[in-house]
Amino acid sequence: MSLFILALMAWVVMIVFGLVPKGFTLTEMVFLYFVITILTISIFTILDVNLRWVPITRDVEGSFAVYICRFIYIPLLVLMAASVLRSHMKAKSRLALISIIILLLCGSDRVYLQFDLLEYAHWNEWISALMYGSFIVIIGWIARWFTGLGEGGRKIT
Amino acid sequence: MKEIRYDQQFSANEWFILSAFVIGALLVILVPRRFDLKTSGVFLMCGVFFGFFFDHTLSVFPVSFYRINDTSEFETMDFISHVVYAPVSYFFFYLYDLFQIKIRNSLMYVLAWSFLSCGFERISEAVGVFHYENGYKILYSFEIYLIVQSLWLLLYWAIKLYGDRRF
Repeated sequence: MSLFILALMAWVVMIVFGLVPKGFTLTEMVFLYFVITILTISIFTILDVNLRWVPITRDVEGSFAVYICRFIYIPLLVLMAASVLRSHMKAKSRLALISIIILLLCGSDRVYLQFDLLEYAHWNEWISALMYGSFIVIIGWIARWFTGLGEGGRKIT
Repeated sequence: MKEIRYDQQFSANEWFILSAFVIGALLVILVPRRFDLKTSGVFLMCGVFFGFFFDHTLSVFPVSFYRINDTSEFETMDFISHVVYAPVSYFFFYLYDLFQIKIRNSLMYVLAWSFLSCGFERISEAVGVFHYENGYKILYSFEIYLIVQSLWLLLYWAIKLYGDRRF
């Protein structure tokens, strides 16, 4: 059941991601996706394996559900948040959209807890929200740096 | 989860990773630049991403097929060992672009790189970077290299054709 729910959630996020204007080129999106996923994996692994603050399930179905979240759900939502951060919308609208994205990320944590995919050993939802918020800000900075990179070198033609 | 520890000293695996990191970084810096900065960034990160992807799926759970470096925990040296993949992917794209390899010869190019990658992995295993478990063999990695590097070629063509398109 957990795999079904997570796959469904990831699919909906993919649909939304496909529909909304991102304002990034393909090169920028691929780069940011790589960075977000690498950071997500590192954070999850440190919290689970090293610190044991958020132990993750070892059963097969749960593991695949967690992979879906690591490789699709979180990266795409954070990528959309980075796109909101560099958009020309009003500050209030941007804040509202970022808050919705953080809520969606925290909501997914609720789903993992519900299905026993992970447990909060030394963790809670507020820390989770803070972590996702900080993560989005860091990715926003990286996005700003990367999109502003010079065009030195040769384009592949 | 029980912690597994193979080694506690700064030994061959750490020296191998650091040497590979330095040599790889120097090569990337020294060769004439072939791509613009953003494309270079993507081609460098590509190797790191796929390294993370497989080393944190195949080597973690539900079944751990191999462990990396000295302990089952995630260490700084594990992170650096993933960064070592960056020059590998960069030169994969670099040489593909340099020699203007045609699509019909691309599978041969992937095959050659898969053998090369297996050789690199074999040395890594010998010095203690990888510790195979649960019946895992380097021959399984060969298939993974074939698939991953074919995906890299798809990425190359996607970036080449649509890299600058804004979505």
